[in-house]
Amino acid sequence: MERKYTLLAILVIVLALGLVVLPKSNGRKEIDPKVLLDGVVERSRFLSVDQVTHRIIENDPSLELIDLRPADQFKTFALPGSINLNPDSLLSPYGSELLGEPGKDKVLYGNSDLIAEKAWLVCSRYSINRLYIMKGGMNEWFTTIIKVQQATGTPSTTDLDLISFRNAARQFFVGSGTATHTPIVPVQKEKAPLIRKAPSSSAGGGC
Amino acid sequence: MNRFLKDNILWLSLVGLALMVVVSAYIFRPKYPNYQTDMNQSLNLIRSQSKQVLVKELAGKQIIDIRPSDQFEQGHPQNAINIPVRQLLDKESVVWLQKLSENGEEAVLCASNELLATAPWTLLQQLGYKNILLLKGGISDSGELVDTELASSETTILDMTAIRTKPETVQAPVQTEVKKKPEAVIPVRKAVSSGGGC
Repeated sequence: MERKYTLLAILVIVLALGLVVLPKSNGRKEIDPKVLLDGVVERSRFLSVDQVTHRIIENDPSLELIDLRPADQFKTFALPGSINLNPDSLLSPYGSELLGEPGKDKVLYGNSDLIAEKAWLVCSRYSINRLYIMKGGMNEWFTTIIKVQQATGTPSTTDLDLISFRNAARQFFVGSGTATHTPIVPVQKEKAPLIRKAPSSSAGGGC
Repeated sequence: MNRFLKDNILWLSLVGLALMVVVSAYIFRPKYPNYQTDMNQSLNLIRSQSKQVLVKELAGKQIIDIRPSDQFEQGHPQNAINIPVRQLLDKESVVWLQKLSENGEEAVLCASNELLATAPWTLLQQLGYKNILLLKGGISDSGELVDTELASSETTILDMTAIRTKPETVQAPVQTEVKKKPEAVIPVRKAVSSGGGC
């Protein structure tokens, strides 16, 4: 009987050693660093502003735009249908739910690529799939879509189609009523001033 | 001895199995490199610019050129070493980076431009290579170090006047002349009094 308890104790000690040796788990599945580096090199994570704009105009239900810019810039102007998310909240419960939504292509963008690149890498480490970056960010989108472009030299048919698409896209964004933030000031009705008229003096009936 | 083994074969089997599991886990544990930062530390990297250096601040630092080998051979900064980005986590590269880290030497990661080096640098930070800095600039085709042309602080260039809607679609407040309404006159009846009589 004592030998059995001795063996049991040895078994428990061995298992405890195993717990010490095995790596810690933080509860989130992480991608292998070499696999992540392959994704970095591949660069398939980038979508052009033309591709994103086309999907916005087509009202693609699988597109989810995530704006990483500060809230004040987002309020001033943002791409239709985009959601503002602070980079610090990317892996919060709300951020994780947003980024983990199935069937959606999550497209990150900032003013340029810098923050979006880092955000993509950090999120991809935690195995978040279908995550993309709008190449060039809002600055590239503004320069390409909103600014008027003229054909230079002898443009090919492809170039002409692209310019035509961008001109049409500009009309879509500039001509949309939802893009304005002009406040409407209500007109206040003026009250008419009240004047009490003094009665005219009149002699009473008398002789 | 035989009797001991026979009587305790089950327990001995379990002990042996547990020992095998522990030894296997130790042998096949994830080898270096592995992530060294937690979630919050990783998120802090997104906004942080503390480990970015300008071209003029490169004195005394080892330059790591992560461009492809053919571009490196065309021209590269003096004393730069070439580790193409695809080979950044190869065994030789990891050993060299580890040695650099143990010696306390700082190195600066460079590519053709800052954007191409940002993701590899962020990955190296998460793997624990705190001594690797990021160049705010790039390497030209001739091998010269150039300052960045991009706004690293994510400065916006949006011009809202170009994005505003067309005038006919805007419900702008209309300025109209305020017509002066006639003043309302309310006669006040004086209390009746006896007239002056004689």
